[in-house]
Formats: sequence, structure tokens, C-alpha cells
Amino acid sequence: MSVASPDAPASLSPVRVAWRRFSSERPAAVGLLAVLGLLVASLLLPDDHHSPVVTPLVTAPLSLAAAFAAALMGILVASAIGVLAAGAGGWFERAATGLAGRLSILPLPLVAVAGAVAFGRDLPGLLIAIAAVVALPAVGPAHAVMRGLMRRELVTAAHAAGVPPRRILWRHLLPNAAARLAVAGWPALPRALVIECFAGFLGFGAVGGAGTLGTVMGNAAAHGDPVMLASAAAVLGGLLLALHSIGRGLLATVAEEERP
Amino acid sequence: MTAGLTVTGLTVGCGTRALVDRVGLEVAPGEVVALLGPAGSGKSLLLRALAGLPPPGVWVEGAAALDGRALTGGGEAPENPGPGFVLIPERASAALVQHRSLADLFAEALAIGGHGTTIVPVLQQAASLLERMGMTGASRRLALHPSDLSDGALWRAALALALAAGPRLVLADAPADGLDPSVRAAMLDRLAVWARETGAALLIAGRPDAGLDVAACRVLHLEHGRLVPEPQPRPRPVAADAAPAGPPVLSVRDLAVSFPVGPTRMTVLEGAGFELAEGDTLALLGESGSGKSIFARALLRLVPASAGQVTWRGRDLLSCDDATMRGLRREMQMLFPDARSAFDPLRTIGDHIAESLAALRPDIPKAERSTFVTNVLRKVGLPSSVADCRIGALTAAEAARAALARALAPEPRLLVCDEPLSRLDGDDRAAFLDRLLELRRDEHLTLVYATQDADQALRVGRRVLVMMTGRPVELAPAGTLPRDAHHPYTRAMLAAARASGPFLDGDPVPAVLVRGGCGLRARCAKARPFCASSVPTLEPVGPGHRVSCHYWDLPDGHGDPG
Repeated sequence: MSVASPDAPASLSPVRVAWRRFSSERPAAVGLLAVLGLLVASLLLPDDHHSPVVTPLVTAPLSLAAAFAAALMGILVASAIGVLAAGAGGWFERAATGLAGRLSILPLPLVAVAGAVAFGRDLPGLLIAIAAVVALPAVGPAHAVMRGLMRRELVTAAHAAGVPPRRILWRHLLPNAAARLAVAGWPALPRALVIECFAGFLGFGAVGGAGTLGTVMGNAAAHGDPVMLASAAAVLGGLLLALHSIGRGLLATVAEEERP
Repeated sequence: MTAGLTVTGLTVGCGTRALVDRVGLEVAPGEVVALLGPAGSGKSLLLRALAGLPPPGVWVEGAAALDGRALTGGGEAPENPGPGFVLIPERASAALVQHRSLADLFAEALAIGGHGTTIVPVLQQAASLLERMGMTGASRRLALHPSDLSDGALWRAALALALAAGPRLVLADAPADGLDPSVRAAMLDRLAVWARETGAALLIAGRPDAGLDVAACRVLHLEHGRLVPEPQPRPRPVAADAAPAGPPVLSVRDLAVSFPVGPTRMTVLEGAGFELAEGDTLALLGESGSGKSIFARALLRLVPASAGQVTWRGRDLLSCDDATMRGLRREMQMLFPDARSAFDPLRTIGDHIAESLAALRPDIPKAERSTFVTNVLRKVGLPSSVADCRIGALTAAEAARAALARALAPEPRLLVCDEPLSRLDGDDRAAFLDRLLELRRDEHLTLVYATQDADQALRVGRRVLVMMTGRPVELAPAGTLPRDAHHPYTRAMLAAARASGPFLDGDPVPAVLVRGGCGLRARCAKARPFCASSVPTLEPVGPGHRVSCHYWDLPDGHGDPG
């Protein structure tokens, strides 16, 4: 009996296999390059507050960073709730997933703005509010990921091999869940970006003199500058397209039968 | 003009490589020919070439004719293969358009066959064809869509639909694949009877262990794209030794498993029990949903039992605490149906075996674990380099052996196998079973082996416990069961393995759907009204032989389902 060649894709480390799958999705690779290009451009371009081309490009990374921070917080919270619900089962599982599901049908941008009023109009307050609302729709997928993993034969086999439950959780369940949770939670990032821009458009989240894409659009609308408004909106649209393309690539990193 | 299918020098290739090489065969009208070969031998390609549907980039040479009319005449395949024959694809769902009801699908197929389009006769004809393929309540199911059907019903619909146009040649690629052997045998038998009655030529292709010869008049063997003589049967190692002496080490009494479903509990296993001495072997035989898998897992407390007793060397496994049970797992290990899914894809095989050793063999120093890993891999026939591979890098056969190595690493005394061959085929299946039985004999392991294949059960077990709808229905020594099985269910499973009738009609009924009485009554030729009111109990009918059937002593065909 011959063992499969070490050069076979299946014998590569899981990270390299995931990268191969990601890079084989051309839109995802283009999206990633676009986002990286935007970040580099923002560093190289002069800080010109009046150029309709430069200003959106320079402010976009701050919007992206704010959205990333909020989405990361939201995904962590959603994952924690999903893991706890799947592990606890019973009434807690039903209550947590049911409540998150019902609340996620609310108009989330408006809820985030209302939350920002409560937490504070500055950027940290807005980020907390955004994290809270983007976590709601991510609880269901995170719970499904953990539920699916806990039913996998590898968990039963580990029990049969005498592996203690805590070790199964840390060594097998959570490492296998990480990539799936990232895939399941990725939509939180474009969602957070949209909410952040909407809130910025209404005047929330400005930090000193620096603005975000939303505040640029809000100022352009207030001062009657349609070129700046259109330019910032185009950058936002491009950024959302790039993020969704990257999300498609992330989905490809997970084998088809294991996708959340 | 030659009647039936005639194939002469058919070669199918890709680029400069011939994938099917100069195949010649004939199938006469009313004849059933089985084309057997391992995966990759060219069976599907041959059928697709005959049907004029070769995959893109594949060329076809040679001649094939049906009733003297050319199906393919060399060069490119014809664009329109023409009427008169039908290809049943490997997956039943691929044969049925998912968004249309069965009635719509049959109306179209019957119109092609010249049966008219008037709705009532079409529906009657469709129901008749479905019933002919063994579907119960056929006229009621015509409104259903393929996605509403179980696997068994899906295959019955696909076969019936293929016959609707009245083809003179049926090409079936692995028909009823994935179904229980007993259900598949009955379905193929019905297909063969149809072919003989209508005078259609039937060519069915599949793996050598797929049980296709149940229906065939002749069997052809294909290997590496060429027709070859029938392979010589390989010598089999002796499975069971003489009956082991001594008291039972594993004793199971009235084991039951149920799961909470809303306010009630769903019982999937009850009344299960047996006793095994050290080194003894027991086969659990049953169709899908019979409860054998749950039974095997409940033995090792991998699913919670709701009642009963499991005693291993005098210790009650169901009442000991979790830490004690983990310690006892050193002595009892399990093989799972899909070895690939039993491993963590992120960790290497060596990691898994070392993890098991760390948990169950704390007496082995950490520095010596790698030596143990290497030794146990060699013991199951794998090179030591497998320790550094993740499960995704291994073939199905290697994965099965890696799972066996993991199970044997802590040097258990009891091995519970839950259909460990279900993902293997052909030679891999035979080789793995040989190695498993050799190791069992060498290590003097006590073995519980769950399978849906009666042939395997008789080979592996010294005794066979037949499970049906979550209950044991017959327990007998493997030596006496083939000639003296009493339960109709056991006899049907043995018949499927022997490729001879009588077969059971209908699909297996899961334990949760049985509402009182005998779970076989809807499929049993001996069923009487009393079967619906009372669950039969296991009664002794001979030395070591017990049967659970109200009418086991009634001759076949004397039932009255009422």
C-alpha cells in the first residue's frame, strides 16, 4: 500500500491549503489586492482635505479600521454566545439563539445610531454600538458552526480514545471552529462598515479633525458638494465589493461540506 | 440483423490513452448482464459511450448496435442517441428533475414511449410502474417531488421512470447504490424480472461487491478498461476460532436508548442483550435504522443508555463515573464507519495516536510514545511516515488502517466495530477485513462487529445477533444461521448476501416509526393481524438459537396482513 505523495495538496498544512483555495478565487484575490492597494495609497497620498479624489481615499482606511474593530468585537461576542449556547444546550440555547434571531430583524443602522446616543457620540461609543448590533445576526451562524462540529464523528472518536472533554474543546473543537467562525462572521465587516458610514453621515463618530467616509459624505451633502459626495460613495461601494469578494474567497477556504 | 445489444471493439480514450480498450460484448433481448469492476475500471465510461454521452474530451471508437441499429459507429458519438434505450445514472437524484412532480416526469416519459398524454391512463400507468418497482402507495406519491422521497423511494422512482418509455435496452450504472443490501437485491430482482418479461436487454454495471449478480444471467469482469476472466477468489483467513471457554467478560442486558423529543422520549433501541467470553466474536446484523450502530455505541457509553446493564469484567459501565469510564476505555476501543471523519483534519495521525496513548496509557513515558506509534502503524500495515500525515493526505484504505492503529494503540481487550468497511470497496475491503481478523486472532481480542452485510457477519462473528427496528430478532451461532435461520428478516438478509430470493419488499422502517407490534409486518410474507398488536419476544428455538417472531414456524407465504 502506498501512502499519498507528500506533494499532494492534501498533505500540505491546513493553512497552505486554505491559502491555495483562497487565491484560486480570482475575485477574492482581486478584492484583497484592492483593499491592500487602498491602504498603501492612503499612506502615500498627501492629506488634501479639498480634493474629491484624495479625501475619500485617505479617509477610507479609518472607516475600514473602525468597522474592523467593531466587527471583530461583534464576532467575538457572537462566537462566545454561540459556543456557550451549543455547549449548554436546553433553555439557554433556545433563549440565546431565539433572542438574537428576533433582534437581528430590527433596522440595525438605526439601532446602532440609537446605541451611539446612549454610549456617546464619539468613535468608541459608536464602535460599541456597532459591535452590539453586528453581533446579533452572527450568533445564529456561530451557534450552527459549533453545533455542527460537536456532532462530528471526530468528537465521538476522541471520547472513545479517552481524551478528556476539556482537551477535546481546546485541541479539536475550537481550532476547527476558528476558520468556520471567521467565515460565518465575515459579513459582519461590510455590515459594520455600512453602519459606521451611515452614523458618520449623521455626524456620529468623528475623531478630532479626522473624518471617516461617512463624515466626508455628510459634510459634502451639507456643503452642497456633489462631486465629493459621489466620489466618497464610489469608494465606499468599491470597498464593500472588495470585502464581499474576500468573503467569497474565505468561504472557498472551507471544504464545501463543512461550510457554515 | 442481430437482436439485442452488440458491442464490437469499443475503445474509449482521452488523448493518446485508452480508458476502455477493445471491449466486445452482447446482451440478448430479455437477458440481464452484470458488468463488474473496481472503481476506475471504466464501467461508467463504457455505459456513457454506449449511450452516446461520453464526457467532454473523450473519443470513442468501435461499433455498438441495438437490434442492428448503430448506437455508435466510431469517430464522434452521435448527437442524438435516438429512442429505444435508456441510461440510468449512478445517482438516482440525477435521473429525476427535482422541481417537477413524479406525475409530470412520468407524463413526459410515457408520451415519449407513445403511451399518449391523456391524464388518467398516464397516472394509472405511472402508478403501475412504481408498484412494479416495489413502491407502496404509488398513486398517492405521484404528486410528490423527488426531493420529498427517501433514498429507497427515489431509486424506485428513477428505475420506474427509466422503464416508462418502454426501452429495448437499459444501461444501469450502479443501480440502487447506497441502499441496504436487502433492499437493493429486491429492487434489482424486480428490474431483472421486468427485463425478462418485456424482452429488454439489461446491462448493469457496478463494483464486484455490490451484489449485482443477484439479478444477472451472466457476469462480465472489467479491469483497467479490459474485459478479463473471472478473478480467482482470494484465500480467506479463518475468522472465528473454537468457542472460547470461560465466563463472559462482556454482559449486556435489556439495553435501551431513547432521546428526548419535546415532552416525550423517542426510543431507538430496547431489549438488546448478549454475553461474550474473552476472545469471543459477535456480529450485529441489520439494515439501516435497525439500531445496530446505536447499540454498538451504547456499549461503550458513547451515547447515553436509558435503561439496562452493560457489564465489562464485572464492572457496570452505565453506573461508573466519567473518570472511571475514561480509564476503562483503555480496555475497549471502537472503529467508526467513516475513518476520515473520525480524525481531526488539523492534526497528524501520529498526534492522534499519541494523544490516545497519553490519555489511556500514562505508564508509557512521553519519550517512548513515538516508538509505540511507529510500531502500531506497522502492525496494521502502514509505513511509519503515515504518522506525519494528516487524514486528508490518506486514501480511504489508509485512513481505515490508521483508525485501526489508533484503536489498537492502547492495547484494548474489546474492539467494537461499527461498519468499518462501509467506505471501502473491492480489494481494499477484503484486505482490511483480513488484517482485522488476523489481528483479532493474534491479540485474542473480544470483538463486536456491526454490519448490514450478512456475508460479513457470518464470516466475522462466531454468533450473529440480528437487529431490526431497534430490537434483537434472532440470535444464533454463525454456523447454523445460513441453513436454519427462522426469522423472515434474517432469511431475507441472508438471501440478499447469497444473491437468491426470497427478498423483502419495501424500505427499512426506522425504530421511531414503529407504533407497536412487529416492525416487519408491512414487509413480511408471514404477517397476520396479530403482528400489529403484540411485539414478539426472543424465544429459544434451539441450542444457542433464539427468535423473536410470532409465526417463525409458519411456512413462507402463509401470511395474511389483514
